[in-house]
Amino acid sequence: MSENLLGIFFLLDIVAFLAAVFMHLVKRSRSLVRLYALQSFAVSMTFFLLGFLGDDRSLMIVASILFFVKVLVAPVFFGKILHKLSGSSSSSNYLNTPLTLLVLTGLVLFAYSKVFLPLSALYPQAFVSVALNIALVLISIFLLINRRGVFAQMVGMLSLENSIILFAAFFGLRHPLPLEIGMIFDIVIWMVIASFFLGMIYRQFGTLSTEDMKRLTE
Amino acid sequence: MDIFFHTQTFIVVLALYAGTAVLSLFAFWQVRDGGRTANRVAHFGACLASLLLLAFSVGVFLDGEGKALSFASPFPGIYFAFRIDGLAAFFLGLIGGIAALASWFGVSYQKHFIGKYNLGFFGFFYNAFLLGMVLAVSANQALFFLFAWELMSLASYFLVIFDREDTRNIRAGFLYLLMTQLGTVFIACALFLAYKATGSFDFDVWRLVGLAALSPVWQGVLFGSVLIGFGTKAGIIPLHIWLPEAHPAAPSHVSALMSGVMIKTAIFMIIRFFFDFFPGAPLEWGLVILILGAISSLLGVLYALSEHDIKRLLAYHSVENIGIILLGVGAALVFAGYGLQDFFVFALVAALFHTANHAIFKSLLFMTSGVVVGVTGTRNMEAYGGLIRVLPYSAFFFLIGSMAISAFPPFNGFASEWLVFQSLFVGVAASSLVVKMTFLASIASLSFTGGLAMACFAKAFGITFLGRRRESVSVEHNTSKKEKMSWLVHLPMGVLAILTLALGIGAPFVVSFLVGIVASLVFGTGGETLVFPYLQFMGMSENFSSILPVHGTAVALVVFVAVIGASVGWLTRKRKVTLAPTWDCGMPLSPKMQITATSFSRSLVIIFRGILRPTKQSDVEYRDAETRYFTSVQSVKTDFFDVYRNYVFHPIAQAIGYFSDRVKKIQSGNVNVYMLYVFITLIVLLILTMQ
Repeated sequence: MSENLLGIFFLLDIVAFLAAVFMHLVKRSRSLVRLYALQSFAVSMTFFLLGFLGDDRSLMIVASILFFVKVLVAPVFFGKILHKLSGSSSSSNYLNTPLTLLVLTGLVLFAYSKVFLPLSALYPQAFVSVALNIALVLISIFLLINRRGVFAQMVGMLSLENSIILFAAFFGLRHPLPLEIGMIFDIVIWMVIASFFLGMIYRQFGTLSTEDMKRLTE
Repeated sequence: MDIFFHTQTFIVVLALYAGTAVLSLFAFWQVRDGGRTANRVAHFGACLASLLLLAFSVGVFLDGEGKALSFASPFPGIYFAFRIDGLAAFFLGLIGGIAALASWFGVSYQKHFIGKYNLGFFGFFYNAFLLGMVLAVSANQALFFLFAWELMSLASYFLVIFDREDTRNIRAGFLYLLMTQLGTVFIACALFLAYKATGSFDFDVWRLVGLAALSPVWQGVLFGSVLIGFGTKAGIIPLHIWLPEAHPAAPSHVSALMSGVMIKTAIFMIIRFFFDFFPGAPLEWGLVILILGAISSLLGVLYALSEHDIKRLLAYHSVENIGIILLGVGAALVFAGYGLQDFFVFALVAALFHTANHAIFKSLLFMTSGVVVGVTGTRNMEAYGGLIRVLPYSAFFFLIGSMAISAFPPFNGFASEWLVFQSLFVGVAASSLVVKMTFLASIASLSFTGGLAMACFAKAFGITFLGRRRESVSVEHNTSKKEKMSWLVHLPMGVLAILTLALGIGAPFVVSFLVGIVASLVFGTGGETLVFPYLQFMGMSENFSSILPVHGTAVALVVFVAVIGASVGWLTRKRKVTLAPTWDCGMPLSPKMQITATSFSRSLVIIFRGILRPTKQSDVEYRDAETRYFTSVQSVKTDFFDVYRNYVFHPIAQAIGYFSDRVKKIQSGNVNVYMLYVFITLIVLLILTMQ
């Protein structure tokens, strides 16, 4: 892969990474959805470029479906859910913003540490990108831990999924087209079921805060 | 006859058990007769499969060549590998023989459950249980063995709780499940340690590679795991607590199988581990097994003596007999450690002989006790008495079983216990003082055990069958009808009774046969080939002729019995038999005047009160509470302090409870915290795997 192409992919990686970082900082659920759409755009563009440059039509089809599902359908779908759950339009973090940023910095440093140095053997010319992808995975998991709202956790899970497929795409881990489409279909089903449960939880408990739900267990 | 030599026969046996299990369920659902048909299908199917299994094992011996077969499985790491060598064929024959007779007996015995419980389910688990035992003995791959072992354990659990209306049975089943799973944890630990040593789950590889790769400490852990894991199933003290609960809870023919053969599968695996997979075990391991055997045999019989529940009494005798078998196994390990191959073979033969004998007489005793419980409706011996008049055949068979288990010559129990004695006497000649003392203690324990077993069965037979009926207690069932000879009930008892005598009188031949099996296992061709030349080793029993004058003893016994019998007959030839009422000091003769089971064993219980820890709770109610001159009601409740529950298992349970309470604090109920645990684990694993 040429230096220029690596640069483009790194740029898309940075977009996805920054979207994940900002997911930690925003409070409003709608902002979270927009950031998820932006991150998904970066992921689908990465796939599209990989397919276009590699003359791989199946990858371009996958990228198109990803774009359709994650960038176009998902925000509309989530928008409608948020409209219904108007009482839970925002959620906060367990850690305050400076501490959150501190932990994120720590995770990025960990991703760039020598712990993951053996992975550079897989792609020696782009260890920086590899580390950024690892940081993206870790930050997405941390989003699941740090947010109080169930909706935010749901978006965090989707962000984690984005980061994993980006990581896999970077290393050229590929599956046959039907399997790739099947996996995207899985995600769609997951979104539908998770949204359904979200509605049920809200109707039952009148809240989507995990902290409030914890009190219900006691 | 050649048909039984083929591996296909073995496949047919497995298919028959599995097929009968499924067919029993269908029969129950399809034929609406309360389970009568399902009962017949389950037991006759099992009987047929077991007879075929017996024929197959005989075929293996006649052929002189083991059978091996293997099938792929869809599960990773597991393949269905079977290996039936001489030792496995011996145990398969034992399972087949006892299971065939127990199944035949079960057809009639289970009738009282018709219309009460789902006999289709019973048939399913009964056949699954038999299948599990057969697979466990023939498996040649560790994970497949574990699967078979669990199948056997879980199926037997469902048989234990089959009579679920009695809550005691549910509790007994739970305890059994708990203990058996505890055993499985240790067994799994042993199997994985063996994998660590050999790099394979294949038993053949274990035979070839051995334990050399393990450090002495890990070898000790392996020994402990094998002993605890299989010892739990065998019922070694103090891991025996499930046995007196679970065996009485199960239907009697299932108790016969559990006590007669299931617990022997643990002995089979102990022999496999220490003599076949990893020979050359340290001498100290043998001493530990000897001590455990001595303790189990002595305490087992003492607890049996203090029991008044006929099936619990028999269950405790299983603990005792497992102890006797372990004395043989332990002695064999010590002799192997000293390099005394001949004596090692001799001691292991004694253990195997007693294994077979115990399976036979214990099955007989459980079957007869099943008839007694069926007629009286209670397991409490204090409620029995004079049953010989209503159950003459069962009484006769119980007497035969009692004499065999009490090691009366010329029955089989005598032959094998005597062999164990002989092997222990050889050990006394050891140079090491520790070894010498251990063997001496084992001899003392076995001597006590023999005497106490005799006292215990004098009590069991006397209280149950002799004297007068305690009608005030046994009112539930009609005990006035005299027992009729039934092929379904008495045929298996008769066969077992004949076997107790045949194996006792024919001990020299049995010993030669067993010497052949054991020697072929030790000196034979090992794991590389399936030929086990047991015939060429059978003559080895001649080596023991100085310490094992079996032929001479048998002749002496026959002469002794004939002379005594003839003398008594000649001296009493003119004596008239006069039937007269018992003199009772002028009082009306009542069953209450008879000696009870409690009073029979009281003196012995007092002698051993330091071990048995009897407790007594008296309660008196007076007619006049103020003066307290005239007693209204006086009751005495005697019991025994349960040392094992109070000093072993209760503290362990408390420690686990304490630890669990502490660990529970990490269970906050907040999903974010759980995610944090996952995250931390992920980070730690990443760091560990990347290094």
